[in-house]
Amino acid sequence: MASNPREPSESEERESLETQLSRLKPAPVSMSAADILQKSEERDLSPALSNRTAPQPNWGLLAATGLAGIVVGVLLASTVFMSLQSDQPTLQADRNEAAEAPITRVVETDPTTDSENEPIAVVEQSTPIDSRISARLNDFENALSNGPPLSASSIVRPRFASFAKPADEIAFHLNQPSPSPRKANPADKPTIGSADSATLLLELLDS
Amino acid sequence: MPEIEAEILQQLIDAHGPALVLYARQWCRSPEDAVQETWIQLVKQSPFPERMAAWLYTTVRRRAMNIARNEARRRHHHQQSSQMSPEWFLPDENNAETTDYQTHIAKLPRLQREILVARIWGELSFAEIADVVELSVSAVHRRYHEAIAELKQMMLPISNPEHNHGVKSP
Repeated sequence: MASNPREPSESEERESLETQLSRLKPAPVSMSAADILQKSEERDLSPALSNRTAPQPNWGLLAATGLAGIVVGVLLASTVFMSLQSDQPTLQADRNEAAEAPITRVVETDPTTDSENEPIAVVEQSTPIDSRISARLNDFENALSNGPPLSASSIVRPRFASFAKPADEIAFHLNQPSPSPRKANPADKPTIGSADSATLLLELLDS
Repeated sequence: MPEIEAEILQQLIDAHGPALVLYARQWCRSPEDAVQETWIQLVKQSPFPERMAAWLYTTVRRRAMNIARNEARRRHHHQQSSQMSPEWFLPDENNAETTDYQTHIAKLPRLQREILVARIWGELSFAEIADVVELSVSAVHRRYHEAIAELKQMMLPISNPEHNHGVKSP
């Protein structure tokens, strides 16, 4: 009696393939325990090789560098301090001279002025130009008090006196007709540049 | 001071070394480096791993992935690494299809290859493989059978010459 050949099941086919695969032997490797242990010991002796992370900072070198920086800084500061100390007498003398000078000048020029509060201003007021201005101001006040009343626009500051031109020259320029003369308005008050104010100015200058 | 004796280490190397190299070969072109680093790590390991095989494969896997990552930076034909590597298996006089097996296995998806190698040549259980590849046991089991099925399909023209000719001509 001949038996029919049975078709191998899926699991049998899989086991057959697994058997064929398991017969394959992986290629051998040339490693020995002695080599592995030796490499391990070498890495223990040289942590930089085994530890492949970032190298640790050299704290000793960093501390030495910081200490050297501090020493250099202290030396520089002391040098600067010493140089300042050597210049100190000269600076102090200059300071004393500068402090004493205005007082001396004030006392010499205008002893009646309060020199302790504004010594520099007093010195400025004692210049010849200011003296002239003061004189002109006094004259102007006298003219105001003795002469006819003036409008506010006719007041001329005394500094004009410093730049005063001859009276005839001023009169010449003021009497020149303007290119487009406008009609005279009787209601207009005398202003600077008008004939009345010029006349008044001339009187003031002549006085 | 090494935690492991040389004799025990040599036994482990003889027992797992070739399969570990084959396993690491699925990722990188220098699998010996990955395995050697694993042995060195084992020497320094404290405490000693309880599940030795699973620990070895897990460590080799991690090392091989790191090496493969570095290799990928240096060259762009990383995908051809498995095909261009030397012979995976010892030549077998009784089985002339060794090279064909290697070629077909190399064509499998990487996860299937990894599970197949760990199961066939690493002799790990499915539970241990699941720990190594970080998948469930059922997923590992399914991938393994898929790998066997695909290999069987690829091996059909070799094992069954008649199938290679397809439909017989009248």
